Amino acid sequence: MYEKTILDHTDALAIVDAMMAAAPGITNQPLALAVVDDRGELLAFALMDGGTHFGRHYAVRKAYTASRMRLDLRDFAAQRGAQSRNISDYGDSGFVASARGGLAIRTSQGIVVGGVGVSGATPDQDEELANIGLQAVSL
Amino acid sequence: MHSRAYLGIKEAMAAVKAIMAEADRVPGRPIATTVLDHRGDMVCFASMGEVNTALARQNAFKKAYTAACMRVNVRDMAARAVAQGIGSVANYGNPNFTGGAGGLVVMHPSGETIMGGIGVSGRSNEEDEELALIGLAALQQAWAS
Repeated sequence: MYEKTILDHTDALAIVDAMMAAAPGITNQPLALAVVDDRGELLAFALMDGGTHFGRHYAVRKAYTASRMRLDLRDFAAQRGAQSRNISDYGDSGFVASARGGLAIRTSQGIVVGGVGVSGATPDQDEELANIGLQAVSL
Repeated sequence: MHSRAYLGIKEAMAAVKAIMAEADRVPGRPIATTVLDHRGDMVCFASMGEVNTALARQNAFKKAYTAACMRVNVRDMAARAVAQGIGSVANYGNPNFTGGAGGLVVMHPSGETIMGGIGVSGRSNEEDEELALIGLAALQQAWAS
C-alpha cells in the first residue's frame, strides 16, 4: 500500500474565495472559477453573477488539463510546440489546447494534487487570478 | 423581450458552505453538493476530496438537476412519475434524472418562480436531504440579508 496527498474541499473553497475576492480589482467580467483534484475531478466551482455557459465549461477544462498534464497551461502549450504534437494526439477530448488561466496545484514538495482554472477575462487576467488563488493556500 | 431573476453566486455559495460545514462535523463520510440555476446549469459546487466519484459527485448533480428541471423535491420524484402515468423515473428518458432524496427545489421568495435546485450526495438519502435543507435555509438567509 502507499500514501497519497489529497486536496480537500477546504483548500479548494479557499482558492475559489480568494479568486472571487480579487476579481473586481482585475476585471469587471463575470468569471467562472474551478478547482479539480489530481484526477481532474471537480472539487469546487463558482460562477459569478452573469457568467456564461461557455465560461463554466472552459474553466473546468482548463483546471482539468493542468491537473492531468501536471503542467501550467502556458507550459503545456510550449511543450506541445516543442514536441510538434497536436492536441488530439493526447487522446483526451476534455483537454484545452493553448489557453492560459489553468495552473497545476502543487504541494511544497512539488507533487501535483490538482488544478485551478479561470475563464471570463483576458488570458493574462485569467492566469493572474489563478495565481492569486494558489497563493491563498499553503500545501 | 423579458427579464427574470437568476440564482446568484452569493446565495449559492452560502448554501454550499453551510452544507460543507455541517457535513464536516462528521468526519470520514465525504459528500458532494451543488447548486444549479433553473436551467440546470451549475452555479456553485464543492466536494470532499475522498468522495466516491461515480456516486456522490454525479448524484449531487443529478439530484439538483432533477429538482431544478422537474420543480420537485427529489424525494417526491418517483411518486410523480407514477401519478403522471409515466411509471418510473427511468421512463422519463433523461439520464440525469434521479429519484433519490437529497435534492430540493429552490423557489423565488415570492413562491411563484423556480430559481434552481440544491443536491447533496454521499450519505444516506435521508442524511443527504437533511444537509440540503440546511443549505436551503442558508440560501434563503443570504437572500434576506
